[in-house]
Amino acid sequence: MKKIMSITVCIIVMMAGSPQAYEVGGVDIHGFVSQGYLCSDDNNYLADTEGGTTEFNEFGINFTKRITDRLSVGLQFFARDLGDYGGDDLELDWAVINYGWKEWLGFRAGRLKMPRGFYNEIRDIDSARVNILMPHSLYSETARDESAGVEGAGIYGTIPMGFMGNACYQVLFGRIDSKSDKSGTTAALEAQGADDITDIDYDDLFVYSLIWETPLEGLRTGWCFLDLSVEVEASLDYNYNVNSYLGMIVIPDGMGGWVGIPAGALQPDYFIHTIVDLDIEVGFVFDLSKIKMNVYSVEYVYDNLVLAYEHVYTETLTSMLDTSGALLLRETGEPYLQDYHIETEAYYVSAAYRFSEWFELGAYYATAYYNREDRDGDNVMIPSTGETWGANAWLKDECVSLRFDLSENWTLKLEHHSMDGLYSVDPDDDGNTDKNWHLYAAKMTLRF
Amino acid sequence: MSALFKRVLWIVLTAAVITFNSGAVPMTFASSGNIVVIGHPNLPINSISKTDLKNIFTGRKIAWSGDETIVVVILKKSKTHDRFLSKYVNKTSSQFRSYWIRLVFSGKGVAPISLASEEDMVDYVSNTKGAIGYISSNTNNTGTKIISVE
Repeated sequence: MKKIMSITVCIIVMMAGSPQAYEVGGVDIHGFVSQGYLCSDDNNYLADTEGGTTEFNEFGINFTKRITDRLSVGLQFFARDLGDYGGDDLELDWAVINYGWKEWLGFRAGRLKMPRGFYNEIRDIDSARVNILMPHSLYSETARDESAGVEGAGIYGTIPMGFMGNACYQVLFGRIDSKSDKSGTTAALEAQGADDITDIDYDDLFVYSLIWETPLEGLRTGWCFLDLSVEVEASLDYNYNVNSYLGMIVIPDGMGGWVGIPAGALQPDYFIHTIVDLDIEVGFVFDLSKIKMNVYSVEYVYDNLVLAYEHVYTETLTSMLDTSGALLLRETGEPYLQDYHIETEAYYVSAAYRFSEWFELGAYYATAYYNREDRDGDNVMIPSTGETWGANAWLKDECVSLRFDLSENWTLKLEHHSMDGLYSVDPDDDGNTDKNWHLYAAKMTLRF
Repeated sequence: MSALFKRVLWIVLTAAVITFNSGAVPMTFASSGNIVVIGHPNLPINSISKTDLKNIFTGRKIAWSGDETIVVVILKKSKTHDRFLSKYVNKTSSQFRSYWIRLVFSGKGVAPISLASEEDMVDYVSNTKGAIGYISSNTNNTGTKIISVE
């Protein structure tokens, strides 16, 4: 696989001498390769960033052919390396058969990009945006493998509404198929002590996307609704001591966070069946039975200025069943079962201005809350310390980006993030965290 | 937020000074003839609405009324290209390029044919069924059909 990747990168570099796509036998060929650098003054974010890392690259190559007037097919291979994510494993990013019957009705099938918000479909295309890291609040790099694509089918179209503008819609039905053992879900569970993730099963997924292109030129608003079910089977090895958590038992929630269960309420009904020095091997099935995501978007383009605002609410209803028998119901001996509900909230506002053909400046302010009902993280304990979750419950990001288009093919970007919070942030190499920290990024992209 | 705004302001001012002093920003376009929309002689239209023209060059409208495929032809970086995009597509050249990058790399579109000169544009459009493009009014358009924009 690495050999294929190396060959692909070489092809891209050779082809990039011209900004034009290559055409072989009626097949259009496009590609890109990026290499980046990340460095943080405290903490580790996405990779081992404290002290700097070059584990930040991606490449893709796609092939598209128009079969008939209305029918086209295409596919793209993609690989990335971002710390523990991706590992430069080559994957089929998208593979689409597309039939455009009318302007207002077309059909797509295959592995499709997910239209979640205005920019999720282009999240891997560095050349199409000013910033290096998209706002974590909506376009988390750790969740990229679960949110990039859908295997299924859908319809799309643009309905002209006269003086009211246009309505653009997409409806997709399918399944997420993240086989990668370096996906975000896998990494989140491993970070929480999972030593054996036996299965991640994504159930049926529906995505509805509606964009209104308003009569005001350049202004568009959008709404996207996503309905998904996930079942994760994992064996987790973690420690807990009921007394040290101020009456809370804290368990991983399967999404990167923790859920506290009042031990007082638990004690009369449950007892610890299997225990070895307070190290408990637990097999859980996380049935994230109802994930519902609403994304609201606004974008305004005026000449060289682009303004955007997006807000997302993600509601998760989870049933967690202990299948290992480590925890049993005291009276009946039935396995431990816990239902809980979490609603995350995130938003960002961004601005970008292109000063010239070769220079663009961008900035955004993004905020993400793990639980909108507990924005300060006061209601959850950290298992290892017994302290409240605090800054782990949020991440606020002030970002400034500089983009230099050295040519039509070559792009260089520099970026600074001033961060407040530790949500999705790892401790530094010494195991310490600082809630106020900085991240610096640089990235070079070659595209053809 | 105040620190952010100070940083942005500082960078904007610095960038503006560098950029404008370098003379690299064509913020206005020199007048060198009007833009003329041209098509293959057998196209089933003589005029087109500005909305349809925009939909064609953004890949939304892909077939003529007789179901013949629309072949979109654009010029590479040039003043005529910039002026056409500004007047009929309401995008700058970088926005237009970015727009098509998004379509091409997300599996939603096949990129337009891109040609180096207006002479090449005339030659290609006159010899390709369903083709539509644009040139400056100063350029010889022999072999193509002039399409008026309403």
